[in-house]
Amino acid sequence: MFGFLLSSALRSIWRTSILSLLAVATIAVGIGVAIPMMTVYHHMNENPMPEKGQRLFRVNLDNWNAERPFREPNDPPPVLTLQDARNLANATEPAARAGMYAAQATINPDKPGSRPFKVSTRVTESGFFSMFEPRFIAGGGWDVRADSAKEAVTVIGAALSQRLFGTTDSVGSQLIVNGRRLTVVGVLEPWQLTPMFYDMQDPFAAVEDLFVPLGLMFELDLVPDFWRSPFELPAPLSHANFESLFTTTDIVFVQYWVELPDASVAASYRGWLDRYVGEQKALGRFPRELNNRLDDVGEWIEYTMKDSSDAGGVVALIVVMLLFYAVCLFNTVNLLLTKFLRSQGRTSVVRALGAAQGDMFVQYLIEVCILALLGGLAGIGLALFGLDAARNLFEHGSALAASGVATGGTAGFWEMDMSIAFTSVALALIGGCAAGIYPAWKACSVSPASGLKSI
Amino acid sequence: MLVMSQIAKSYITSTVETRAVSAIDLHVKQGEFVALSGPSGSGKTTLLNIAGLLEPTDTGTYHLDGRDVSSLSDRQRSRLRSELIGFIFQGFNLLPDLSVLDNIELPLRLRGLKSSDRCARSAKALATVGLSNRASHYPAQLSGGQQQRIAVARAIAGDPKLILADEPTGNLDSVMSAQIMELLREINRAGTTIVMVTHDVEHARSAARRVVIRDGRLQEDSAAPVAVPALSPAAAA
Repeated sequence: MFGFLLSSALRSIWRTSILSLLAVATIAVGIGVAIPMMTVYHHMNENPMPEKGQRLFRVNLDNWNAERPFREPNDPPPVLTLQDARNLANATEPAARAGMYAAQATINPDKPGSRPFKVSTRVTESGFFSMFEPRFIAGGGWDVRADSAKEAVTVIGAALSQRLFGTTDSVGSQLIVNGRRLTVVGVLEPWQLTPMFYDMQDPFAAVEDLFVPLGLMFELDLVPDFWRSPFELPAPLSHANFESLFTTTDIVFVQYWVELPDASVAASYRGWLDRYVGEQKALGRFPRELNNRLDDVGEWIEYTMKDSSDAGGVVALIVVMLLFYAVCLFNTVNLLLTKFLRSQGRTSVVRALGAAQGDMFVQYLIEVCILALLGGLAGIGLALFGLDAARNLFEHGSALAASGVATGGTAGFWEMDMSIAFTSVALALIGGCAAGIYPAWKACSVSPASGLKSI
Repeated sequence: MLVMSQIAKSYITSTVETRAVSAIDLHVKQGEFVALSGPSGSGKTTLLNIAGLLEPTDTGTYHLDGRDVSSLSDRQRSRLRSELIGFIFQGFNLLPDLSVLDNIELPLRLRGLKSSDRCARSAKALATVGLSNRASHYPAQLSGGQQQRIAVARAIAGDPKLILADEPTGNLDSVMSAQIMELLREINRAGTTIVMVTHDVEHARSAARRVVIRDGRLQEDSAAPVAVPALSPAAAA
């Protein structure tokens, strides 16, 4: 019987090809619009360090004031004081560590007629490169010795290298950052990291083009983009009191990452952190209850994404897109109703010849499933087109594209993987079948005698 | 074969209730050829639809081949329809996208018969109506008379005990009508019960028994009315 119902469904699709096509197109548009946003959200929540993600940990300590938490319900600040970042260097467990923050630096090109320009800068330590393993076109990251000796070195991105020196191999070249001459020790390949998990103030921000040692922060006058103070500052922050405020008060601004080789070392380090905070409490700091966090990459993304305005925006867009899909499905209901009721006479003949109401219902549902499947597949095609268009749009506007540097590394973020493709088809099938139930039931519930009169 | 007792059926459209048939008592014996006639709107087709289990009754009892069909589920009624009844419609009602053979096989497929069985029965039915050479044609490639003969073949392919024909000659010219009537008489002679709705006086007269319906009531019956027989427990089950 199933074979007969299937062939009847296929014939029905062929017979009412225009309505069938419209139903497929309606589902496809709904899927095609919703899936790109879901793809972006899916990639946003992917672990960007699948091999090392469980060994890299973000450290957060709660030295906020006693009156209120940094953020409700009881979140510690996501950044540390410079004093704590320096003290954490005493722990022996981490295989690598790095304090870091984002800032804006001004570069004075060493060419006549060139104007100074600002670049996003990551002020960090050598551990950044060993932990996050960015790929280099030339050279490499600076070493621990350079950190402690406050060497005037820098790592730059390929686009900046191209812009300043006309080549992506500029190791040994010098550039002037905030008035200080730094030597390029490494040039990074284009690095698309979404979400930019090591920061997460802006998950969609592009990876910085300039990396300078944390030890040079005051010398280069690199005021952090994000900082907070648990107490009122003795004076407003200015370039004149930048160093004194950031070294003598509890201003938090350092994002701190460590690499811990395994779970037992991680547990040991967690204990060390607790003891450290206990010691600091004895010194009159950390007025709040012990509230340390040690999150691996996955946990950190999950923790920060829930409050991210970008993630919230994408979720809101997904909801809007799904509502749009629901509207498409409402249209599908109308199309299917028209399609099925148009076949009323035929259905009545088949019922008169011995088909039960249930058989016809199953035939209609098979038909709807086929249409939904086709709609899902066509929707994947539309979504691929949409993702490609979005990628072109984003890459076209990026500095990398402007500087002529290939950005092959960005493709993954805009690519649909099998799980999203499967979700698309499942969404189409679920939505299509839901849209088909009422028209199928309506068409089947007309008595065959009435249907025969309509022929 | 067919025993109806006090059958009534009304249609309610918005505020108006239209009584299609009321208090019909009809007993058709196995092998009878009954012509059901009457003016338009008298309830002939409604009665035929009730007889064919296409429409439920409001009141009354209906026994088909010894079974009380009043309380059967839709699937049970469909099954019974598939096994016992063949339909012939005024408009032929062949499915245009199916070949002649596929049209004839359709009720057999719905009954779940095997392919070989379906082929054999369809070929036999086609031979009966004299259109074996048209098996692979499509309805649109046939004349009206040929289409109705295919509809007859579809009705008899499953060897039904009862054929319900709703004005089978209504869309045909006199020559074609005569051929179809002859075909029906042949089928009846082979033992199949036929209940035929017709407007045509000649055709009604050619049936062994004539029943006239007017205003939803049985007005004339050339056979004496028969009381509903008591059913044996086995038959009732």
